[in-house]
Amino acid sequence: MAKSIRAADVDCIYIACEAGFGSSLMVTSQLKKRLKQAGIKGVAVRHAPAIEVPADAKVVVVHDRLEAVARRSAPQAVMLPFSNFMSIPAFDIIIGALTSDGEIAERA
Amino acid sequence: MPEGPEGRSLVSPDLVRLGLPSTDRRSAVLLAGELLVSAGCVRPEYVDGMLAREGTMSTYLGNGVAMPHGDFGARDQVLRMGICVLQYPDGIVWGPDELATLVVGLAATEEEHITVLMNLAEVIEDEATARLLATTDDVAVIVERLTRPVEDLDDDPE
Repeated sequence: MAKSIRAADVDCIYIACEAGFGSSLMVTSQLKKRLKQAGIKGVAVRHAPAIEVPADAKVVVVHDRLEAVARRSAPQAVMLPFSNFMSIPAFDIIIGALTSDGEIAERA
Repeated sequence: MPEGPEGRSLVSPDLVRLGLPSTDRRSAVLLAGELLVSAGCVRPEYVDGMLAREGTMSTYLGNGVAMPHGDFGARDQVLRMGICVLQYPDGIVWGPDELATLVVGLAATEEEHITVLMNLAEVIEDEATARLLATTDDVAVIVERLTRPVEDLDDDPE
């Protein structure tokens, strides 16, 4: 079932990739930059290998090839997959929800 | 020029190779791996992790940039941070619909290479810069563009 979470309940977003020091770190800084540009404070962005995403993570942005792995690590998390590093739809979903006090939701 | 620990430049000009003839992905990853091994950044086993990683999931980022690095299991084979850059002006077929002109080999454990990753993020978003890096014959251009200072975003509330 597609999960969702109130943006107000999100204080940390995880970016997951395979090794945890390459693309996830790059995507982390891209999202931090977008949050800063949007004037959003109080939301941390952390990166992790998909198999090490904390079980209590609430929102996870992950490459779609690693979505299943990340889901096993954090079964309760809202999972936002992407396939193209040049265009990550999760950024707009997250920022839209945070700025409108809406919900961050998985695609149905 | 931003420097890593112990005053080393984040991208050493010694680890930049320009104008390479097109080859296949495996050969490019092996060359990137050899450069990192010879520079003392990784143990030879790390290169196996680089090949394994491409096998499970391409490291192509977009706009002609691929970023091979070891897989999760190869993290222990990193001795110190290192970044090498291979330029293939005519491109390498990296995967379906993926033509790599800039291959950036990574060896990293900590977040000391974040400056280079952030600069790469800008390159994959900007075609003009991607084209410049794919065609320049000046190593200094590559080093400068990948190591230029970036905005400090380290404002984690914790």
